[in-house]
Amino acid sequence: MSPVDGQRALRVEQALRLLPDIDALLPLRAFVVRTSRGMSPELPYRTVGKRFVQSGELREFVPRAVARASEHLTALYAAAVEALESEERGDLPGAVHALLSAGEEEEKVGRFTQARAWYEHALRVAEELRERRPEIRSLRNLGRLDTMRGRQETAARFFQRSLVLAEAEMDAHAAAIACQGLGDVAQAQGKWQGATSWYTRGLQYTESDPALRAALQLGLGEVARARGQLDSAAEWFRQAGALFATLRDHQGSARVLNAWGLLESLRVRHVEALARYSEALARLAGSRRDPSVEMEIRLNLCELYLEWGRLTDAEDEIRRAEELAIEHNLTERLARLYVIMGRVRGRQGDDTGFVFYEKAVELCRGQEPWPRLEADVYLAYALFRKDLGDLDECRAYLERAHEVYEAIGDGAELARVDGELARIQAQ
Amino acid sequence: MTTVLRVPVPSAREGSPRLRLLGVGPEGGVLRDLARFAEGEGAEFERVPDTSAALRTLSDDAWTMVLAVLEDEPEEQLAWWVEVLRRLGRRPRLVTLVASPSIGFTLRATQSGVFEVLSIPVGRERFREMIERVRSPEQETPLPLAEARPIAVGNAQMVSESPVMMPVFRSIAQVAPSTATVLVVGESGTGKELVARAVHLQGPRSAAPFVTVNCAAIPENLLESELFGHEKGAFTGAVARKIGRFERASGGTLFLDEIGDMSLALQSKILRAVQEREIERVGGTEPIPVDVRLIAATNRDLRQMIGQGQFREDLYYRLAVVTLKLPRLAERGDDLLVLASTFLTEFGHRYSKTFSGISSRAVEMLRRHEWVGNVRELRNVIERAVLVADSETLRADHLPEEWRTGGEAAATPDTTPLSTLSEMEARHISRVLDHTHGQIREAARILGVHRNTLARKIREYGL
Repeated sequence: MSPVDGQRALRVEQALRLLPDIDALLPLRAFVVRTSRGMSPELPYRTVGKRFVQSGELREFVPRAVARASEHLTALYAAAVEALESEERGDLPGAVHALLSAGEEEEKVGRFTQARAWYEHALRVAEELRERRPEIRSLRNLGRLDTMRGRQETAARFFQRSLVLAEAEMDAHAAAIACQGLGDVAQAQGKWQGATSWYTRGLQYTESDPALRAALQLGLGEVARARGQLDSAAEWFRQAGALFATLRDHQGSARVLNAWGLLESLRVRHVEALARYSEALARLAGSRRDPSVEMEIRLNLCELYLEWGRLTDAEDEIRRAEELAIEHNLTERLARLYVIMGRVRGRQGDDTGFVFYEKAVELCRGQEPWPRLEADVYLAYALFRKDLGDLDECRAYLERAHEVYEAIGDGAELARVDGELARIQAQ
Repeated sequence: MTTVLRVPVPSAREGSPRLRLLGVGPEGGVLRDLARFAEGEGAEFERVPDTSAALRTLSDDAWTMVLAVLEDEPEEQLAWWVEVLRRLGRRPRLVTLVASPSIGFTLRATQSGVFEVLSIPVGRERFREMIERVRSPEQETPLPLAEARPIAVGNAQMVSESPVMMPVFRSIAQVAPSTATVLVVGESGTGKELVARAVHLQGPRSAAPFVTVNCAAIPENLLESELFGHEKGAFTGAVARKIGRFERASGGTLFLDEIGDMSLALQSKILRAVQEREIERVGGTEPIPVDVRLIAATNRDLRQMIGQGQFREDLYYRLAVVTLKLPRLAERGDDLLVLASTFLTEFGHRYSKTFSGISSRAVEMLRRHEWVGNVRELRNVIERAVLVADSETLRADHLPEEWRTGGEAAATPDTTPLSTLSEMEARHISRVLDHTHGQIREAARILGVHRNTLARKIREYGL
């Protein structure tokens, strides 16, 4: 897209440099990115900083941005007042519920540090109560948040505590969710046996809860896939898919199809994988779509095209996924997307692909840091440099990745990085 | 359990390509009729009961057409089919079978690229008409691929038979043997880098490196260190000492693409490097001598930018010692077909397919397209076409779907059945509603009817 005639075109990177990176301006900075216009599909794809700012539209968006910020604050204040009123009524579980709702509001808009503060506060209040369910819920929220943020050790501790409480309370639903959380943590850590045990244990609590049962079956399928037990994985996916279909849960069906697509990818059955992802997206199209689920599918689709060597299609899909990530403020997924784009450029032998890794690093180190992902980006960046023959830079990025993996205690990835480092030293 | 009904294929149509139709829906009823009709038309017909089976079957083989029975929630199913078929790559035409489709549904289906909406029950004559429409593109006249005489430029090649490119080739030949700085001007995708490479390869520095920097692709905060390099620790991201592109191009050519996108501050540093023939790494203290031939390129009007204070005049005159202007693809006449043929052959090799021609309708569509992205866009379009092509002739239906459903299709001979007045009215109302973003009051004002009348028609047509 070319600038408007007679007007100087302002690029997003220029605009963001001009606006100070302070809390009060965060929504406005986000709007600058969201309302920017990308390049037309006929022109080469570039990072978000190279888009053009629509300053006219931006002015119109200001009242909406203010309204959205005000709406968010109103929800937080309402939750805080609700907590106070509950305490006045002597309903402390109600107060915890209100505090947790406030945290969930923060989580929805990607303010994870603030969300965690609300959850921790709720947990402190809940720990004083005789009633244990508020504590279980607080622990569950903290566990879920930490899993997502890559803090697996602390997440595991929260889920463990919530499981003990849920079992003591004979709360099957809460126990199943805790087992699912522990399974997810183990899966993220690559502890397949542990993950299988947790998901299987969770299934024992889901006799009357088909949705949760399906989710656990999906987890078991994912673990089986990761262990290379592909037939077993397919069977789990079939069971989970059937349950979600019975429940008319389009979101769940889409997640199963997404997992199935990955399975087909592993079997190097590209067309089948594509069909699964397409079906998953189509399922979402018929429901109130969860952008993060849609983004996961699109990321896998981009990976598939990349593996398949259909680089033009990969680039097209990346453009669509980027729009979605920006629209819904999915920072972590946007960073992952840029890594894929960097790999596409690497495959094309285009060394300017480094800009996508740089952008990904920048996103990981933003207001809400993603250290685990940052290390992943360094590792991918190092491999990109290695392919280009820049061994010094490759080594430097591997060392960075090593530092971060070591800091967050990810032994499996640390070993992989050290292996790469050894290979580089040997060259 | 998938039940499959196969109809044997008689040789009813000698010489015509075989049509393969996949029916998706319950056994019996309309699909049984269609299987019989298909037999009469010499087409192969297979039925699968549901979408999952359809996906597997579609993945396995190439199909001409999918005939999908949409029962509950046809709108939702329509969206599903459109999305799935769009991604599958091989593009079977989609025909939806719906009991009493509303005009609104038909309209949306058509806008989504559905080949035909058939109302259940389907009459034999209607089916035959549709099959004829499918066959007609198969019978498009194939034209042989245009012959090209490519000029090798490193691993790439320059292809042109157009007189407007001759001055460009002449200028390359004239300027290459010198070490003069060259400014290549042209729209995005016209081949500026290829020309720069040709100048380098035919010049005295051809044995030395040709290093490119795309100034528009690299964020401003990274561009300086990319050009001049940096010392370890010069800034947060400086994880290791980096040799910049000026240094890497030493003895050879440095190609600065999209130089109009460079900030004024960096322009000054480039000017200094050109004038003083030395650079300094970011965070470094020692000047480093560099000896490079500079070729710059831009798609912007640098003179206008000078007037607006966005580009340094002194740098412009340093760069524009010789200026080469590249024409847009639209100005290159038959080069469009020469290039299309070259790309067809190139991607044919890559994807193990053979092409002997391009159909007359495809040529017509290629000619009518605007080509904003010039040769690069053409290359991408042809690559995609090769991926979906299922014959030795590139046909219109291998080209982007939006060309057929959007404005560009309007120019090609229309073989669709004539619309009724109601369909025309529904289409027009839908267009106005799109224009007003669904605002009924505003749409009614434009259409000159009362909003209650409009609301009634929207309901009536299912818009």
